[in-house]
Amino acid sequence: MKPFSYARPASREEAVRLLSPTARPKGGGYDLLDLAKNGVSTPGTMVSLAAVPEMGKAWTGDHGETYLGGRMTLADLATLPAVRAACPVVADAAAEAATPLVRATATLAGNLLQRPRCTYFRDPFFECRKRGGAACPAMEGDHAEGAILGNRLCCAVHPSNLAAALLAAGAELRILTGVDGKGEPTWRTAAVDPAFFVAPEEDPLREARIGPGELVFDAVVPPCPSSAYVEVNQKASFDWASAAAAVVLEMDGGKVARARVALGAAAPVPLLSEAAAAALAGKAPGAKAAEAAAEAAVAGATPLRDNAHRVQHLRVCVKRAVLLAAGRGR
Amino acid sequence: MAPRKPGKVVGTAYLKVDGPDKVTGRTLFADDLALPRMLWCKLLRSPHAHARILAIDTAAAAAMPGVKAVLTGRDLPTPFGILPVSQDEHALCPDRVRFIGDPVAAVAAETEEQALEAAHAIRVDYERLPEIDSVQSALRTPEPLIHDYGDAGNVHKRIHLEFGDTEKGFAEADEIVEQNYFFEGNTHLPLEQHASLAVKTPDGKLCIWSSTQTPHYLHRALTKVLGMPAAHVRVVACPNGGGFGGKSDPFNHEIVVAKLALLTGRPVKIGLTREEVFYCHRGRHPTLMSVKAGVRRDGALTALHFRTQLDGGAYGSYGVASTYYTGALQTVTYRVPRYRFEGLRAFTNKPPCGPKRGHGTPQPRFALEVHMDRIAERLGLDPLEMRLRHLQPANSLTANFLQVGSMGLGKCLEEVRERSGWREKHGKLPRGRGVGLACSSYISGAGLPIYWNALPHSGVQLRLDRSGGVTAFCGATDIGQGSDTVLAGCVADVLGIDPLDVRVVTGDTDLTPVDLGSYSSRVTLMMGNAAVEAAERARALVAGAVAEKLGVPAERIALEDRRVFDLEDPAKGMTFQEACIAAEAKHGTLGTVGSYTPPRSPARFRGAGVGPSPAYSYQACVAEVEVDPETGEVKVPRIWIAHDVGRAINRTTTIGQVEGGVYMGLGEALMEEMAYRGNRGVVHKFPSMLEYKSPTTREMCEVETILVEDPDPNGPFGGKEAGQGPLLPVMPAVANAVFDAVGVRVDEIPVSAPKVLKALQRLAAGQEGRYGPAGLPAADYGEVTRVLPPWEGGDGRDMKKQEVGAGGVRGHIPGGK
Amino acid sequence: MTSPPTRAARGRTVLHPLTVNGETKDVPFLPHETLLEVLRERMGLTGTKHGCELGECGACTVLVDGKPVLSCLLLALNAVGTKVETVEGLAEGGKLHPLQQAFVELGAAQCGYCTPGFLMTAKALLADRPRPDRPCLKDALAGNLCRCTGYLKIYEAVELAAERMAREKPPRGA
Repeated sequence: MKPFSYARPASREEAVRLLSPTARPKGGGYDLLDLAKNGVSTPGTMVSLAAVPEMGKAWTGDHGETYLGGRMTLADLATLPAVRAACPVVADAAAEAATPLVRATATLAGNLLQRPRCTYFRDPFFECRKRGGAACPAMEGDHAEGAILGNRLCCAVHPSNLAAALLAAGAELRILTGVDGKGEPTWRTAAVDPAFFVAPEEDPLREARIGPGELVFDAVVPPCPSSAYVEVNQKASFDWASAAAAVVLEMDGGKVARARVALGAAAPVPLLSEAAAAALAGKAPGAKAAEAAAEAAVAGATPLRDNAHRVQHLRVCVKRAVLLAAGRGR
Repeated sequence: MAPRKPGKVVGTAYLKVDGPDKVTGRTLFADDLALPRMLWCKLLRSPHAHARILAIDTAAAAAMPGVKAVLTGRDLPTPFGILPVSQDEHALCPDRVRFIGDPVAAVAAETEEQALEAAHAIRVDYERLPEIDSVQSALRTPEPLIHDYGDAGNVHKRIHLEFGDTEKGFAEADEIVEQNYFFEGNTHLPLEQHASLAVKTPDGKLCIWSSTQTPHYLHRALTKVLGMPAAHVRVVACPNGGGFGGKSDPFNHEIVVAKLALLTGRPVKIGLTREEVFYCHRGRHPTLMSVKAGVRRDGALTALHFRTQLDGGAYGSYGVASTYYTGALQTVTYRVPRYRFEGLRAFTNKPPCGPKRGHGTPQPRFALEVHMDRIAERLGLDPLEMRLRHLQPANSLTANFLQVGSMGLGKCLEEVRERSGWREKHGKLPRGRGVGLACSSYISGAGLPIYWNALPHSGVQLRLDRSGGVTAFCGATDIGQGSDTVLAGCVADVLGIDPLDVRVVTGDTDLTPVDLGSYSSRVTLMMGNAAVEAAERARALVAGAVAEKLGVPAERIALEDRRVFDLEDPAKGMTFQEACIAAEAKHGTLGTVGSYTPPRSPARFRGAGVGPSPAYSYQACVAEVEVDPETGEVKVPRIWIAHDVGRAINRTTTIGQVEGGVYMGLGEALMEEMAYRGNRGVVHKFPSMLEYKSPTTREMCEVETILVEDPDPNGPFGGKEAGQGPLLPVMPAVANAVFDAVGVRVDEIPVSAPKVLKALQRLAAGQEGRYGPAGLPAADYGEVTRVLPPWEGGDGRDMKKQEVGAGGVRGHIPGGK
Repeated sequence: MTSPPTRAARGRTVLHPLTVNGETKDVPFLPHETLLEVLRERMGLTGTKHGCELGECGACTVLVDGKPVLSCLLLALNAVGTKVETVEGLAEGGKLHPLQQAFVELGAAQCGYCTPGFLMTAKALLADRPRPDRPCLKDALAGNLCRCTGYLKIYEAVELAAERMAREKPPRGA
């Protein structure tokens, strides 16, 4: 690793003041240190958030919404009963991530903002659009683990389970943007919606609309008891998904009033499938509707030479997530 | 001769002698060692797969802070390699790099970071050469040569053997079954990354501590490359943090740190990164195979024809042996009356392949056992009962003159049939669930050493004294398989003491008698036999002295429970320590030796060096799988495996080896791949433990192990190997179970979800439900060597030579291919 | 207990107090050094192993305030002000910890390289769930790789240790 400096602010104000393009916030630090060790990028300063109060907790708001601190560990997200009851899609997604040892330290914000796992991106030997290159070597090369949607310029899939879950849940991020003249923190909110994520066509160098001086303080998740996250993977631990679907159903009697279907590990950014949602609206969420939603979700897929199986895997994930979410609504 | 009967130790679950050190973090692996004034070494490795080195400029690196020495290929010009026929490696490439990761230069500096920075400051000018990324491209590209030796162009080795007239055998068959198979390469992935520490002692001698499975061969390589007298080089094999064959070659980094230690006069250490471990590789050869079998309606084979093509990577390593092994052991499980084998190994610009657990036999075993399943399906027979009917008998010679001794495969098959509920399950489980069967066999050490000579393969020295202490010295190396525990157990059993009473000193070329190393599953049998011989001699010394003291004949003396006593009057006797005192008083300083050399094989043809073994272990395995027909995912909840080990020296470690073998086989069956870049076929896809998928607790199945103990006359207490055989049947058992579950054949390892899915989609589209290779590229396997099987009057020699021999010219014809 | 420093400058080696296995020592290290490097290279605690340096194997697992942590991806600075436990601290007064004892008896350590990591993960698990069932055990150990044992003897050893620990130390309130 290249040497770097270290800071450990004791307040959110101090933390956000320290951030800059070269001073990066460090939650669990796993992705940050991994990137530094692979020689992909090393910040000049790691700003540890370990001492910033409030960021590591979950609490429930007045309208049943759940506030999830940006520094909450995936392990807490996966196991806290309040999270599982209010937004099972988030708990599922956290539980499926990485390994128990990683989950014990890795954080919500770190997972949401982690960089792609595409092996070309992580190998400085190759040119890669995500590192400013002019081409995507994975197109011609290895893309068995690559995107099947939105893969025209880059076929790295978005690696975050939570991104898909928060997208489906219609969560909102509360982001610290700096401090004002009086030393008070300034804020903005950002809905976790398709506009929050940045596709390679717009800017391949980043995946989310977060400024270098900004800090994801927490995520506010509306209650979504009828929700589920399902993924297919080769290994249940130490692996990324081959396909993933996060589904949130708003039920009206026995019918789906409104659905949000997010597709993970399918494209360079998590996608919200309007077609899948439309296939569910007004229907009883049984096998037939689930299959229709699954077909709709993969209708526009453009698999590459070696990853057609991921279309089928995605289809299966959507179907199973719909059925699981519907089961939970009862 | 019947093997020695166990006393109170052998056959029990006595404690592993290195257990306490390992659970307290006290075991010193090579990278845990440090010496005062130690320097750190880093290697500069080639970024190109095939290139000529035009110039190397080390001036800037040499001037950097902390740097004490810089080496290039010019400093170590002597080639080396594990096999005498493949001395094709250099510690640092002198003029040519052959794979991405091939070491070009080395730096020794005060800190590891300084060494790394200096290595990066070395400038190398390369001229790129055409790259060869597969057997197919090697066959197509005879020039430029990756090496200036080999059988033809970039074909390193060609083999063509025929035992009996196979065409005649096929003509006698009721059915001919043909198919092609592919086994992807994979790697050992030991948790411990290789590390070495070398030091020059003030008297000018060299000592190196290293994570090696073969200190003896490292000793040879160091002596050769450094040009030092063998007696001035000491190799200490540290306990290996897993080997599986991956630490069996002498490696570049070992020679480099030794040279740097000699040059600088300071200790020099290197610890490889995980990425570098992938470059060391020596793993399973990717192997393309075709099998043709002639069978009668009852499943009896009339002839078998195997073809194998191995992607060898950039150097020879054990490759010649690996290639022979892809054709050697097909004959020891079921009767094969006529057998033909064609094999070749090609050089490619990838990290060298070599010996991984099962060495060259898992690939053909996968093909053969899936083929047997196909045959049973074609004939409408139960694959288990069919195998049971046609077993190779015990105490028999095979078509290729392998001497089978004890043979417990029939018992193994019966055991797994009963335990797994085979009859109730095979062909009868609901869609998506299935069971599959496979058998296998493995050598308990090779009958011939790597360097053909008349020397023992293993030696054990025992030292006893008035303290009652026993020290056992042996060159064997504990790589986690428990060889130290076997050594202590064999000695303790004969001397009637506790294994923990025995101090073991192993893997040190200065202190211990030569043992050839921890490879080819040879240690338990060979070291065990040497240990028993040494212990029996020590026992005679002790018993003789005690007999004299007690005034009874020596035959009446028993050694048990740390006592030496009169069998007819057990109260009459003394403690083991008192007995040692008596013996030391009678004989003077106490010491004994034992050594072991395998029996001579009856095979005499060229290539007969690979396959013979003092004893063969046998396995039968049933895997139960769950296949998700929607995703193609394969889960394996349970495996039953019966292993004919002859005699389990230690129950715990034997079962541990079986379970570990099943685990590694499961990884190969489902996910492990040494994968190369699609668009640059010569660079590893991503040399990391994350991208190299291996099973976690979540993928590991339950295992029911059944030990079948049919003592082999050649084994210590009847014992045979356990380290490699139990891996072999797992891959074909899983593939066969997938067929039972969803009716598709994946004739390719690993059996991953995309392949199953593809085969299912083909089946649904009315095509053949199969995923696998269509064929093998056309190739020349060289001139055939014909040998008549024993039942056709063969004497183990090449027929041509036999005819010549009959004319009066006997013996070996030099150069005769 | 000291709190961790609020600033550390790149490339400057500074003494920091680290509490490892109950003893606090001032240890010199750089801001970018990981806890694994500091334990092994600066403190001579080589019982903690490295298998990948990238959080991909679990061999470097230690406990930080009782929680299992991958020491190869934890900055040593983040460990200042915490209680670090390594395999060297498991045995007390020369007596093996029940987990260690069970690993020895059942042959759960073959090559032994992954063993320290497994022991630490298992210790944290048993502190949390004294009698884990098999699925729970598999889940908890899924972040540690072993290439020798196939994990089976490890499960058995953890279960045996759990049983013995429960017998020795009845749960609070019992």
